[in-house]
Amino acid sequence: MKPYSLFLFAFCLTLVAPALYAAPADTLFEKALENGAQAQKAFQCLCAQYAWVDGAPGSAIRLDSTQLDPLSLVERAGFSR
Amino acid sequence: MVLTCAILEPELYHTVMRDMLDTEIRLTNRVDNLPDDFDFATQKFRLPDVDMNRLIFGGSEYVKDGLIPMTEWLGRSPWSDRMLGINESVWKHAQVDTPFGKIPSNSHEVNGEQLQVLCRLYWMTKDERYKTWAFRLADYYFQEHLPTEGDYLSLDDHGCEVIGGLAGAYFLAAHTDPERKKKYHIPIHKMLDRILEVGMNEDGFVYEAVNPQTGEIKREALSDNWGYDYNAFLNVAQIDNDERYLDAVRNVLANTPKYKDYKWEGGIADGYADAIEGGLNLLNRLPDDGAFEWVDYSTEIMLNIQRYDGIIEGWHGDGNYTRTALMYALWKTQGVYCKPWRADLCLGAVEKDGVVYLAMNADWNWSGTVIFDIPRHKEILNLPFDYPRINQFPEWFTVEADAPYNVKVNDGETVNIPGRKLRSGLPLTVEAKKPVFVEVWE
Repeated sequence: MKPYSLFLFAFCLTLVAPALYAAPADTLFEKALENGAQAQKAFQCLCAQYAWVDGAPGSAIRLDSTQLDPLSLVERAGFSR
Repeated sequence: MVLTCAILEPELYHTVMRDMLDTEIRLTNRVDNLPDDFDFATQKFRLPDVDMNRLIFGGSEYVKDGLIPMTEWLGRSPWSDRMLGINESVWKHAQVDTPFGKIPSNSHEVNGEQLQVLCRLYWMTKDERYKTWAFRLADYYFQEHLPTEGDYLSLDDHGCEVIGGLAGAYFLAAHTDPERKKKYHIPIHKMLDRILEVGMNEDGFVYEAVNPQTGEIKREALSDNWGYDYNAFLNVAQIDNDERYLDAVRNVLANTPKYKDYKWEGGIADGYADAIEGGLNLLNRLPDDGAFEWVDYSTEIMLNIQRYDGIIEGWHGDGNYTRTALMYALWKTQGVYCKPWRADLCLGAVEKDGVVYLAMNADWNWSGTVIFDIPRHKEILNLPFDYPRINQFPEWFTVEADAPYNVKVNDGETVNIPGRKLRSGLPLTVEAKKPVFVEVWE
């Protein structure tokens, strides 16, 4: 093998090795982050769903639960029967 | 709402949610523990008359659709006490005479719900009465009123309850009463075989309703409750080691990608919620990559139905959206959740070969604990096996209290931590926009 071939081989190996050796864990952690973004969206939707309950973060409608019967919150939030 | 708060807003869970339960009990109990609609405007019950069928139906719905799923996650709580109280009253006021004793109703829905509830309550409490009542209902259907021997069978909302309920009773008999299990064997297989023959299309999706005698399709739309029906097939497949039923479940899951844009229940959130929940519960036992993608795709549609003000559609089905969204999120985290939760927190997980890979990121610095799930079927319900059942929260990565676990955070040393510490919460700190990676294995 000529010296430049050896150099080329070593150079290519440098490029490829990280991919070959990319720990499977890295891929799994990437997927975990992707899953996390999807879970985050679901949790945010859930939180927004009850944002009208007094004290919930992001509450657009602040109701003082000490003044109201908690069940009546349901009606005030616009639920139909 | 209670479950959301239990996971995301513990302070509300311990305060407003408890107040709400106390108020609900104070205002709505009409006959013993059976609740009825209360009108805040008039401060009276919505309807003047006491209709025991209505009360039993309402109580049974509340128990099975709401309180049982809550108990599956929360364990014993004031809500499970409420459940036990209502169910006592359902049976105290059971009015329908049968050769096997009184039962609460003639309807597949109420009796199916009761079958599902009683089977779980027996395991949870070991109170023999629950088993007696569950077998009374199962005897009634298996010996005299097999659902596939009538001229109308709903495989959709309501009617499907009895299919899964009878499979629950079969599981109970298999583990506590071998003679009875033998008696149930032929009718339950007959019922499931007939559903396979006339109840579904070539891809395995069930019609909303059929005439099981003639095979005529009575309601041609595909039921969003298909997964609930298949719980029964998977349950019986596992009890009897029956490959045919197992193949039927695999078949429908493999075909879900063909139904990506199917408008479940006409495209309402409740329809997507049922379809997703049913699918996810089966996928927990029989993973299928295509079906998992279908879950992601369908959940995106469901979540986007939410209105700008946070309300979904403004009816009691919104609770169903919540239950399914929670199930979806808990699949994405493998049952792990963090305390305190914040809207900027991104927590996700993947499990492979017994190792859970957890990734956590945040827009702002965060410090708290991540809490791992427990084998709830065993520790809360005392089940001998985690049989597939409607409205359960599937278990993904669960931690045994007394087992030691290896935990590695980022590139740090692997440390050995007892399971009970993971269950009460692993302390973690996340710097803004610097993801933290954790590996956990037994």
